[in-house]
Amino acid sequence: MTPQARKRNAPYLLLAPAGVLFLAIAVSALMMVRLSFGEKTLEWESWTLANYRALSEGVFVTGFIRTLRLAVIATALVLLLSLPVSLLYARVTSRMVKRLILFIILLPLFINQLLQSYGWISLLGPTGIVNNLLVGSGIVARPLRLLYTETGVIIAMVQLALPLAVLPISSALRNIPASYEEAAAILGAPRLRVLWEIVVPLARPGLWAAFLLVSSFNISAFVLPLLLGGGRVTTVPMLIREQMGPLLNWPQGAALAVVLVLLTLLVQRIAGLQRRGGTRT
Amino acid sequence: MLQAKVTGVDPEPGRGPRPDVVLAVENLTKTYAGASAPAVQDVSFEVRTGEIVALLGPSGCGKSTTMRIIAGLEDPDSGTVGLKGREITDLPAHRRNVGLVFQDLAIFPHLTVAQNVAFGLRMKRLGGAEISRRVDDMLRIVELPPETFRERMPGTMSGGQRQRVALARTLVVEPDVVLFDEPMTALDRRLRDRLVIELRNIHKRLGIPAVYVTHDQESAAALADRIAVMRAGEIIQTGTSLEIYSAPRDLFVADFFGDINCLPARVVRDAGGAMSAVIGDRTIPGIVTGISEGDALLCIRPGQLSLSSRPSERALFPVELRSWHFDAGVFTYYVSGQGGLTGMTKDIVVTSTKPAPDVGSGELWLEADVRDLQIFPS
Repeated sequence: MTPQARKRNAPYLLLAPAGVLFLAIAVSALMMVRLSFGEKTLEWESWTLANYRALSEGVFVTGFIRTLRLAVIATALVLLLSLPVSLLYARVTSRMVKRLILFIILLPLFINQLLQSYGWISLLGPTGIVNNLLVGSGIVARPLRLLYTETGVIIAMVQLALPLAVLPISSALRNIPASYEEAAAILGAPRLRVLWEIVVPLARPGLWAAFLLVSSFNISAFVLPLLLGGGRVTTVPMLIREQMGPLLNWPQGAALAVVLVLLTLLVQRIAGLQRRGGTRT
Repeated sequence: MLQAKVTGVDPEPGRGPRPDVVLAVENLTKTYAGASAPAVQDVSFEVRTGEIVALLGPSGCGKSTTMRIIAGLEDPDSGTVGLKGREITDLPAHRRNVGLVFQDLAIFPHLTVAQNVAFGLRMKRLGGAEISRRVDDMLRIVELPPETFRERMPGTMSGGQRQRVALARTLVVEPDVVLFDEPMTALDRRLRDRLVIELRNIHKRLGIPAVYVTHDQESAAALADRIAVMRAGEIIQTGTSLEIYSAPRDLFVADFFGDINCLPARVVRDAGGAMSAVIGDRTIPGIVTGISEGDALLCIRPGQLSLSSRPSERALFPVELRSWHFDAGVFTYYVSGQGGLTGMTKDIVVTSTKPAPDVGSGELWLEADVRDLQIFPS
């Protein structure tokens, strides 16, 4: 190779280590796709569409609908909540306060999901702290059923996914000069108008990144529904695990996985079209 | 005889609001948390109908803070801001009808030129056709033909064009007063001169009073009707450019407004009780007022000095020519004092449109009219 060619290609060598990892994931994904067309006990030799046809069964359909519903609700809540938090983080000037906010936000990422789930169990139970506060202050007469319901699962999913949203959004917000907001205010825009007309459009790259991360994360939620659902909240990842583990039906699990991934991509694609349409008034 | 004239600070206390006063800033004080000194200290000034007032001073003098308080972006600790007779000190920024052209222009990058200019009009809830008409009119005033520039994105435009968009956006909502935050800083000489002329024309045409915040004395003098010189949070002197140049209140102001030579001198009281200035071995009577005995500085502008080969009654003392250059019609000479002028580290600067006498090894004398000498305490 000529020296020039070597120089041109040199940067791509830096991709090599990550590329190896990516390759491993890609290969195993491809294997999963192949598996989905196989038969139980004859996984690599057979070819069948039975696993895909089985997806029309009630338990699977319910699982997909529930998974998507939980993910959509949780993602929407996360994005809504993360905007004021990100704004606060981006605009606060005191370095101490900034670090404190960042620490609180990132906390869920430091703690094992399993341990967090046990924490939620004690928080959300009928005699847990949340209910004690609500009943004790008189807001409700009887403790709310939060644990082992979809509501409880969604609450925990939102808390866990929040840092994934706050980081890219506050990063995008930091790149918006304060003078833009000040200019809009001086031109007559009240605070909310400034946010809607100037901040949100300019933060769009960050919002999009947050959406991708959070939606992927929520659709693949496994531990939280497993521990906090009490057996009543069954998501597709849990069904996959059931097929892969106790039921030893790898091809069925693989088919579920493939469809889940395709659905995720579809959801994100639809949202992407919405985004590119723009909100120019 | 020259007195150190104090032009004073507007307005006179105790008078009611005058009808031609558009913006009245009174006794503004603000100290930022954790700061050792106030950013703005008892600042007061007025802007009258059709006037441009400049807030001039070095970085950190408080001019930007004052401007931000007027705009509503900061709250003062005390003091008031009045606009067209009503007090706006407690009003949020979006209700003040003040215009502000930012230093970085703050043009919204995701909107077209027309959308940028229309922004303030939309906030006033005007109709679409009316907005369109006003936007086009204003674009023509700032010399950005609407047909070409309406749909352009700001990112594709030059700095000068973007500045006009910022101007159009600010003026189209017809604010009661416009604030300019150092608009010339990023421009080169030629663009700056052009912009000064354009701003003056637009200002004359629209008649909106303005406050021009800058550290650049030249553009302040070219643009503003009156200048308020600020330092360390206070207004030191207010007046026209000529007033301040002729009678600067202190050395800081004198030095800010163009080159000035300062010679070490002493103020002494003679037998008869009169005050004189002593420089080197020359005593100059009758030019000292309001300064007590002691060390002082005798200051004079380069253009007020001249050089001659023979001593006359205008001669101050002999000097030696160190170097000189010629540029655009002006000779600049650097001379050093002899005969007892100790303590001078810099050369004295003399400017003239005529060449200095050719003296060979002869004497060279520094001349001036003693009435042009200004004296400041050291």
